[in-house]
Amino acid sequence: MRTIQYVRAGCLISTLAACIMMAGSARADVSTERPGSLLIFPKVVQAGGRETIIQITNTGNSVDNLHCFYIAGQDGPSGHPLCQITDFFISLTKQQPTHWDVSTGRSVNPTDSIEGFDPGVIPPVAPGFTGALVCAEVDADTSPVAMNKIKGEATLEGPNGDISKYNGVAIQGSSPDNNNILSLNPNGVEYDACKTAAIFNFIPDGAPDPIIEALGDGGICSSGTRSGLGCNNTGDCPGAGATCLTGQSQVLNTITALPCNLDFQTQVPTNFNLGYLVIDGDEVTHTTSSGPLSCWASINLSDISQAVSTAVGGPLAGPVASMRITGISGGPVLLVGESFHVDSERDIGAAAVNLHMTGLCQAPGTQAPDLTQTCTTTADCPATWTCISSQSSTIKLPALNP
Amino acid sequence: MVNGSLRMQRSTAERSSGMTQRFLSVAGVGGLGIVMLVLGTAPFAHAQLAAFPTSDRPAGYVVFPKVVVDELDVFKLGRFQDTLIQLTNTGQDSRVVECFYVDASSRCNNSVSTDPSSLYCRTSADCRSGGQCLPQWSQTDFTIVVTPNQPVGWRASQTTNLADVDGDGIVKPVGPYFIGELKCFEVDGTSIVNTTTTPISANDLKGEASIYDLNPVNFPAVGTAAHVDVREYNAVGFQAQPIVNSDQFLCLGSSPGSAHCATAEYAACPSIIVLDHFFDGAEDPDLGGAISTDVTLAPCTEDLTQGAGTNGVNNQTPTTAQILVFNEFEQRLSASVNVDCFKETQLSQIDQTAGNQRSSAFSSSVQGTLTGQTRIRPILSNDPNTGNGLIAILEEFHCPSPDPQTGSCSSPNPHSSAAFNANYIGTNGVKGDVVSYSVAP
Repeated sequence: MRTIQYVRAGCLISTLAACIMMAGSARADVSTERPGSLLIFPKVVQAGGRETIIQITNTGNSVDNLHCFYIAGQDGPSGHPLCQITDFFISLTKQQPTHWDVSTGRSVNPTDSIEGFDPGVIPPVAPGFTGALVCAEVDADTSPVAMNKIKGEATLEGPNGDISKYNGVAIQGSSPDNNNILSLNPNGVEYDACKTAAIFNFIPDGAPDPIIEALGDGGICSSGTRSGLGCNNTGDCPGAGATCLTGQSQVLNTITALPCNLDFQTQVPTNFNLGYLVIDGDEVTHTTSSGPLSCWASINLSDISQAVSTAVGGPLAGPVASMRITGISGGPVLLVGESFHVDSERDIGAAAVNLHMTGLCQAPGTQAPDLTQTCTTTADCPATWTCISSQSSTIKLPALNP
Repeated sequence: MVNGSLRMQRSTAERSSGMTQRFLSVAGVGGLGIVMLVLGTAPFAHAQLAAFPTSDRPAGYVVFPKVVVDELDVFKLGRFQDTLIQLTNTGQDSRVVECFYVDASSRCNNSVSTDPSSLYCRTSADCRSGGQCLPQWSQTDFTIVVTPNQPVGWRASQTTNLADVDGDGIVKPVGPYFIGELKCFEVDGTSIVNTTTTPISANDLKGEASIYDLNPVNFPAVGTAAHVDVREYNAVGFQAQPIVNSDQFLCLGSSPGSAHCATAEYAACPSIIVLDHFFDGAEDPDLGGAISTDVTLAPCTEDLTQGAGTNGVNNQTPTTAQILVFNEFEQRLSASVNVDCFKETQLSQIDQTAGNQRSSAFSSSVQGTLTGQTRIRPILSNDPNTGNGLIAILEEFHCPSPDPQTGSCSSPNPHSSAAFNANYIGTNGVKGDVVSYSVAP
């Protein structure tokens, strides 16, 4: 009888240990459409005629405190990214949405013109700011907690009144340690890890926009009273012999990258490199990589020779192309894409989009996953290969009790 | 003898203790083995399929909740519309993809011709005298092949032959006027000829839709400047689970007691849709002017078995959804919305008729703050053979001069816009959704 009890005890202990460990690695997620405990806006701009409005909502039924960090990624006098960190705290009551304009921030002033509970003192960013915003759920003592209740959006305004919008990337957490080093790892213990790669679909850079060409001003008049001005067809170009020279619209694309390894404690910037695999509509693939990057990067696809349309001398045949992006050094990255659709009169329509996130297969004995092989699970990979769905990183918060 | 007895006692005790220890050790080792097995598989187990809709992962079934075309400016709004669809096969195998356009544009019941200006309507006021604007719901399907890793794209208004770009199949056009959705899912086979159009367990598709509002110079009147406005959203993906039956039912989640969907084949629809938005009529903090938001709600359950050109609106499952709206003071108002088969509406026209938007729970005039959080929860019926799930996308419009009566920023007012995906919380655990379809021969 006692032996049976010992056996049961042994099994119970082992099973309990397994359960505890599994609970510790309960599935978390990185998502642009579910609330999380870390909320990351990779692209925040207050420069070049552009502004950004941040919206954050507490989707839970209790107060949620956030420790937020602006990362200034614009170049400083040395020509390198400033990587200056500015932090602040906000507090949201249950179900409370809030917003602020990054150029003005928000004060705690019930009598000002901004209605609603002021969530806290939010500093404005300096003119010329280009960078990111990262917010982490914390308790009243500023220790990280994982309530998975925050979601948010960033609205990019301008230039010239145009707007685009994307969802903040939410990283779910479970049981973070009571220290200031946030571990993002594939087992989901503390926080889920950033995905290994991202996919951006786009009209090849510099190519004419097919819908502007069809319905808008895709051309310019060759002569006549409207010579050099925008047109859709020759009927828009009065004058003998005047024609509408089409193909003058174009699409320009950018991607913005923020490494998932962040050090808000020492503010040492993360150096990273990106690998690119571009696939055009004819399935022709082109590979390349970025040069060394640091802290944060906004990259014009026109600077990536493999992403440029044949219309302007590049290799990509249209009408659409797909680019896979992964961090080849410095750890995984989070990305946002934005396309600018320009007619012949230089009127611009901007559209931001969250990139799809994916794993990559890795062959046994190789150093890195393969950009040509995306995966959700190992079953998607060739035999003996493994799906690297996500990669570890850390976010270091400032010391809790300096 | 005493010592012997003691030795015997100790031996017995020791033996007993040793046995116990052995058992415990075995149990412990066995249990440890279990723990190791669990931990060993945890990294791979962590790469799990999503049980909920995602717009940022490849999936086996993707939905574009809003596709619009207006090549003729049917309602004289001073702009043209079209939608660029991008669909990518992220996998290493060629995939046959079955797609359905769902046309939800309303029609006048007394139209005497197929002229779009007399056929299509938004309200009965758009019809000839005595006419009624009736909802329509019809589908058009087409089959395409997308080769490994291939991105393809097409204008919704145009016919596209994917054989021109190394794929296969003809993408059918929706015509000069369309409002509705597009749904695509992976099916068996490697070509249009050898597919039986039954769904498979694969998650290779990702999609984006770019909606264009634009006009060339001098349109609609001489002196009008050209304008370009583009907004883009990600298609909503439902990842296929490991087992997908070879029938023509897509089971989004499971429905106990269902004739076809007792077992989930795809991710389930969300329990709650969360919208983070500006209230209608809110002043843009940077640009001035006003902001308004449109939401498009698409049902997860759909009957795609009606033939092309057949109005299947009465075959769709109507859904009522409860709505809670929170402002920045944490104050809460409630509303509800009926979604018969597809609903695209300005937020403040959910609970108010056109012209009365300033009295809406979604109006900044009523709420007193610029932004709000809206939670939409569909009410589930008891029928296990149908579902009531919804998915959504939002479009935000900023304009310098909103409509003075409605506060709206959408056409005909010049505007800039952005589209973005809604957030989701939970899944419908008690009942799933089902997409039933048949493919035209």
